[in-house]
Amino acid sequence: MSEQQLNDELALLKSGTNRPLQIDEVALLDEFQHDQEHEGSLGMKILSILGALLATAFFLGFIFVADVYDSAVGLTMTGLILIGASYVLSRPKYAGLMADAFSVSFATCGYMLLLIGLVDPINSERGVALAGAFIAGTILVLHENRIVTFLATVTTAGSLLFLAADGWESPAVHFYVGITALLLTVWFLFEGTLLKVSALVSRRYDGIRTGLIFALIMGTYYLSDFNWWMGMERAPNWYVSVILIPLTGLVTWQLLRKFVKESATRVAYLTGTLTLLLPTVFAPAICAALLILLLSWRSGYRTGAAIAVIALVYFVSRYYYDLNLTLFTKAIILSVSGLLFLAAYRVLHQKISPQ
Amino acid sequence: MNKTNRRILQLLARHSDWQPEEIESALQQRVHASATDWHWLLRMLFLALGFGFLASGILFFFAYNWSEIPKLGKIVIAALGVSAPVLLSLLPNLSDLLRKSFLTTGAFLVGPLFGVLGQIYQTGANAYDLFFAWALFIIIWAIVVDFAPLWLLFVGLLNITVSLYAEQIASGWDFSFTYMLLFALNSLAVVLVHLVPRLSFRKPYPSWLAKVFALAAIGCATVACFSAIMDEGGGLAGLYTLLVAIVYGLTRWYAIKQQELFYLVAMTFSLIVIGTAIIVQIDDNSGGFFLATLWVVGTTIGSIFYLNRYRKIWSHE
Repeated sequence: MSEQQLNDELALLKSGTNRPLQIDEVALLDEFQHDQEHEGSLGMKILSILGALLATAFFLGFIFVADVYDSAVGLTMTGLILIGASYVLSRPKYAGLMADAFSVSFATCGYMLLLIGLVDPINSERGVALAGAFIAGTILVLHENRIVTFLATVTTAGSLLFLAADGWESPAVHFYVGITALLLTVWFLFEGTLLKVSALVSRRYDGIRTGLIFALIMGTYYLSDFNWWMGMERAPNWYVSVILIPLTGLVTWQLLRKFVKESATRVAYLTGTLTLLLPTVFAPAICAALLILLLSWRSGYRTGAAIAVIALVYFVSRYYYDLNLTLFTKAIILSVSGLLFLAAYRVLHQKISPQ
Repeated sequence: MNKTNRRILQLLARHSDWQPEEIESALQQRVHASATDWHWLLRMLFLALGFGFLASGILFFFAYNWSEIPKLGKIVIAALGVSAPVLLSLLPNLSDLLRKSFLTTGAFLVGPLFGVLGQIYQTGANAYDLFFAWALFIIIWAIVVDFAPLWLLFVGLLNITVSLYAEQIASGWDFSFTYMLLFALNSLAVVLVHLVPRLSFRKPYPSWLAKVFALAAIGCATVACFSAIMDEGGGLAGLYTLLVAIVYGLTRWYAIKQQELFYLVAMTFSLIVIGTAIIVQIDDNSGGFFLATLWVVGTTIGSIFYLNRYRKIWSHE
């Protein structure tokens, strides 16, 4: 995008307010140019994440083969130095594409080393998971790099999920999923406020958003994995639906308020949506994927919507596969719901126009 | 009206006295999904869910052990599964998309029909026969309907056929050879997806189709080279790597010409992985692992630098 396009867009945005805005033009242009130089495509971001993970795996392999891993102090120190170096490299002063890429690799590798170094001194799984969450959380607060922010969010969430998943019968994972879903909804619905609340949050907005999507999917994946329990006592799945279904309903209501004018129609649509969501009481993963889809699509975040669709397809197939019914019953349920969806398509296609 | 890039809105939010409510209203107007966007999503979702559920419902029906139904009945039901969607597609007033979706469902249900026939007549066929016959049978279908999801099904079936053939019939094929074949198959698919619209008057296929095939091809090439190098590291590994390198070279040329960053990124990662296999094969001690670490960090960072050059040039054009 050129500066001309930037100015056109800015003019459009400015014309939306009724008052003249006070703008720090120099700083804005500075950051824009920096972004233009260094902000890679989605594929490039994925490449740098995969590269960092692969490098970390080989480095850990090196450490184990070379027998260095006995020295907890050495590992911890190296980890801290790498994380420190990655922090310095991610500062806006130094940040360039090269520094950014190094920063991602160093942070990933340093984090793993630090954690492995802490295994012996802490000597408890829960303790290490807690330390993992704490370190990743600290990296999240310190780092501005978007990729590191994303990885740190996912890692913090992953460590907390590990802690929560400690006992099969405990409802802790349900709390984890409920809180993640709530956070994600707040993150999307209050975007305007979050962008303004502080520079710290504003610069981390995108990374945390994608990270929270993955965090929620990880939690619901755990809940949907029936095979793990194999007759063990466990907290029933509907616990978390108590949060997920009303949240999805709330987001739907928000959308209906925007697009549907008559309040009677609005209520009818909401009732219909909630009725459709009701069967997901025992399959919270499906409801969570729908929530992510609604939120992402609403705010024009296409990558999030694509992730949600993939998750939705997986969770729906998984649900039917695991369903304890005869194939005959399944076949009938599936065919009938398929025909109903096609009927909905027909109605939408003929009766309701976008205007 | 084009949408505003969210990044620009974030920049303005950071560097001005814009208030949260004002930002929210700008987001609503310039970034968020419009009624048209929602309409599109719901239509696609209903259509995909509808056909997906219907087809899997019918598939489950065949998997169900329906011993009470006589043989003839089974065949009739299976044949109905194929012909009903085809007949439905002949209804007047259907949109092009809907018509093609019906035909794709029909092509999908050819598999269960063959499965039922094989079950009843005990043809003694191998599983690969079923998939091969399925692919062969729908090839005309695929050409006539010429619909991206149907081509995806067709190429998917060919992939399954090759894998099953390698597993069940061709005992002499080793793992990496099978993957080289799959690499060739999917590369051919990528080439055709790009070439056919140019040679005929067809409009281009959606870009995801070639990308899915390309990802499959690059994935298979990576697996083939990686396992060949790790297994023996001899002449065969060299030959495979050379072949892959030639195809990658040609693809690189084409991708730069077409300004397609996607192919460059995917091939880069594949090459990084193949490189680590070579290093670890040469030295699988601590030195090799250390070198592999340096190689991965170095090539990742170097290639991002290199890819970014293209991205910048192309985005300014």
